[in-house]
Amino acid sequence: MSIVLLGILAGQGASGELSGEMLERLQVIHLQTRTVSGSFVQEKNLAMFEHTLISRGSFAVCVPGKIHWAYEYPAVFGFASDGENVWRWNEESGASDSMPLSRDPVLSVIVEQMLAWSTMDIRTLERYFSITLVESRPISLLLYPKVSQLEEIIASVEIMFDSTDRHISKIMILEHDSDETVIRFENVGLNLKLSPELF
Amino acid sequence: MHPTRRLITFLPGKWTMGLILMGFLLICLVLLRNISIVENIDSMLPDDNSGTAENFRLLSLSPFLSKVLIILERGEHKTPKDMANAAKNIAQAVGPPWFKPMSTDFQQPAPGEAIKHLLNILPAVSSKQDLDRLGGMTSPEEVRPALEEARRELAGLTGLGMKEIIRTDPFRFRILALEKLSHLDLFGIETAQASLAEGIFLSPDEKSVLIVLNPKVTMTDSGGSQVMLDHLAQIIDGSVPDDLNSSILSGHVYSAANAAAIRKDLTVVLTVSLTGILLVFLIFLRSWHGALVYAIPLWAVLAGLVAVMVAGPEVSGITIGFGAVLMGLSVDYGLHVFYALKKSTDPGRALRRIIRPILFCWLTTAGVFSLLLFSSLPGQRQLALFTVAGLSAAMVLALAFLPVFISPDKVVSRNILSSGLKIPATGGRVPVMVVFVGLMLGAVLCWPGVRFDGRLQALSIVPDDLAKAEQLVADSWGDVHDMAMVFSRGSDLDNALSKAGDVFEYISKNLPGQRIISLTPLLAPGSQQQAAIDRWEEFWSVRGPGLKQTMIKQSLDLDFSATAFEPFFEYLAAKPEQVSMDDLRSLGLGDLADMLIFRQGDSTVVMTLVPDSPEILNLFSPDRGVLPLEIRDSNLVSQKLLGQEIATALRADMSRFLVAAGLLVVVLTFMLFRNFRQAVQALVPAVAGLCALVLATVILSIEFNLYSMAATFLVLGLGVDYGIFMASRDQEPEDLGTRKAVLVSGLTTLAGFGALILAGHPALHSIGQTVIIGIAAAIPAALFVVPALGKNYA
Repeated sequence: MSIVLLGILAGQGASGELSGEMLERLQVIHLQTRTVSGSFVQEKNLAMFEHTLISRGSFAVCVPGKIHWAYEYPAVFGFASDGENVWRWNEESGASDSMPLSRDPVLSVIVEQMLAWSTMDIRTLERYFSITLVESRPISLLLYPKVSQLEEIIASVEIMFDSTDRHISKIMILEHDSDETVIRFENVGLNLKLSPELF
Repeated sequence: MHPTRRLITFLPGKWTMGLILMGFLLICLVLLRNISIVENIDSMLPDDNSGTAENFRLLSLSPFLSKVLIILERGEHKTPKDMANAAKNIAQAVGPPWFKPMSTDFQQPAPGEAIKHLLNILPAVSSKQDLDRLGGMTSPEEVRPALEEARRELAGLTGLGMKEIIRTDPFRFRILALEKLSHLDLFGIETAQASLAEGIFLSPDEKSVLIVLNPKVTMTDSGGSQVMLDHLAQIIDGSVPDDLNSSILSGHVYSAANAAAIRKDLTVVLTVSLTGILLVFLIFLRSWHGALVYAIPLWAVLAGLVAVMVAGPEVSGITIGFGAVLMGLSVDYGLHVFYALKKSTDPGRALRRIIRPILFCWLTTAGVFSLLLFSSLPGQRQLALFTVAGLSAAMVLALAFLPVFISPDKVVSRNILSSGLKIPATGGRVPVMVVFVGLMLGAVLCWPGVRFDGRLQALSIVPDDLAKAEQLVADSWGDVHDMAMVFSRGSDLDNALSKAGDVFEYISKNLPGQRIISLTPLLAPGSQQQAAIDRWEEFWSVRGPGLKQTMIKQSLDLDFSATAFEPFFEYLAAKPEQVSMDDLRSLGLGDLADMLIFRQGDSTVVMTLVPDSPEILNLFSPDRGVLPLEIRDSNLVSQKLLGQEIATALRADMSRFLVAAGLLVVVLTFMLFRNFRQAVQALVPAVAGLCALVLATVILSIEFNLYSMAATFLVLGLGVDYGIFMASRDQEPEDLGTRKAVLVSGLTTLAGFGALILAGHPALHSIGQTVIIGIAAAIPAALFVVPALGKNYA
């Protein structure tokens, strides 16, 4: 009996398939998350560029389905969606447009994934990814796409939680050609009241 | 000896006659074994060589209109994916023998792949103006802004999915390709992006899915349509969860519903009609001889059916419905023979006296109906043949067979009921004439208000479900079903595409900005594609090197790597290929393209859809003078205009027929009587019937349609029949029971037609309605006005 218990306890700290208990923890995080907001720093290491592209901005997510993703440096642009329509802006070109989210296949995938990642919507994530536990404290998950829509773009996604395990602190997206995008979340606020105008 | 007496003497005995009738019955039954009853609207569509008929033929061949559309709608608890899965289940389940199988292997290409396909077809479909645009987009001053935008996009999250697209197409050439693609956007939903699988499309709001099925049953095959729809209903039941709503939109639903309505109507109409006639029989004629009189219409119907079958194996359900009417019509001759023999002490003399009016009545009615043999509508020709044959048989039976079975000594009315029913006296001449003249004046005043509805919908039932599905499609998927169609015919696909391309250019040049659904911006004829490819290669061979130099310089300034846009340079240098249908299929556009191409005999026809607007119609109107050479071989078919064309053509046809029928009736009546007063008397009931029709249709806001016009002939024919008998009465030294015969035959007709008014099918209903109004006026006119105009009126 004690050997079995030791085995289970040991398994909780190691990488591997998600245990039932971990799934439950992630589900609780998701259910307790109504809004997430804060700022982010994004680093893109792309073969197309000689140097890393660094951007800063702010974000806000509201369950269900609302997202505001704004780049503020070095350029001001972004998108916001209320779940039905998406609004995009670009301060430099002055362009601003709104359209049904479903009419932009690339953006609709991104919006859906960012919502799932940032609120740890484990049910949605399981539909699109095979999920492996990298660390249990703080939680770190490695996601491998299993639908062609994502497989063609992404090799893997790593999601890391902050030390309190209440919200994500970093997302690393690896592409097949080794291009990499790292997004670090800062000053994250959970379940704050967000202005409806953001979406 | 008088010819009539000779005829009576010559006639064989009862047993011989009985055997002849039985033999005729057997022949009819054997022939009718192969009868094929069709329940569609084909018989109501013109089949001559007119432009309208050709337009109808083109419409009926159009694959676009022959598809079966299924619409799935989701509630709040279902996701778009649930709908997509249900749609794919349906696609998997459909197949032979009712549908062409749908490929469920097809995967909509990823956005990046789709854009690459589109870019690859651009060289073969670019016009000179397109190249000018591309030149402007890649001019040296546009290079930096384009690269800055590319950098910004790559820095954002969307850069993840757009990277390869940006590397291959940094100047957004794809906009040009998407503009061309938009001309295949049949359902107004940016089809290329909304296609979930072959023939399955997601609406912009993701709340409904449209499935396009290719049926193997033609829309006009009502029997096959019903079986196919039952099969489809089973598939939908097994594939669609309860909380997804499904609707079917297809001409097949329409055909099946109309066929079912006609079947139901035939049962009701024939039952009620027979009951009505039985009632008249029980009241007025309750005798074995009376039963023989009422057997005549049954033979008449058989003779009519056999005549129609000899002309062609298919009999319209509407024609059979009209059989009920014919029963009432063809009983007249027998009734006059019956009453004449009953009243007279000398059967030979009585028969001699009525043989002439009966022959003339037959001649006028059959003559009037035979005019419809020249109609452009096969249904009306069939009706005419049916009626003329049936009336002829009834006339022969009444004059040659009936007297043999009715010996005067046995013609004794045992009918207590009818003996109690006295026809009212004719009344005063003045009040009767006042009413009649008032009726005529009213008709003259109302004449300008008579309206004609030429819409095919006016002749058919549109089921509620179908109307709802039509609305649903219009709301969620655009008004494509209401667009006008331009048919371009060629000896082969290339030739047809070339003509369709001319149509596209013609409309685009004359009315820029119109929504045009056309295949030609993406699939031009081979020679034009080659010319476009040559132009493309020459253009980029000149501009390409300079552009590459500028781009490399600018991109390095913006921190791009030296190979960042290598795919774009490879694209410009690649050897372009012509676009084929396979390329369109790989983009998920095969189904849409197939909807716009079909074969007609040895020709290939390519369809272009355009707004059904006055501006577009005006572009193709012959009133513009000589149409440009390049569009002369293409037919514009406007569904709105087609209804108007039918209305105009048929109104003109019917007006001609009615005038001809009127003249025929007048001439025959004058030939019969050779006396102005009697001829006018004979025409009175017909005039009264027509006037009552005009008056009633205006007052009750009833519109004439194809079948009510045909029924007008009946009012004319029957009215003249009554008039001839009543006017002949003045010449008779003894009462041959004419008034009673007219009354009973009128009531029998009303009973027959009364049943038709119960029909749910608009065509049958309008026949009943028209004749009831007309005959209801013709009977009193015959009974009261005709005598009032007589010389011996007392």
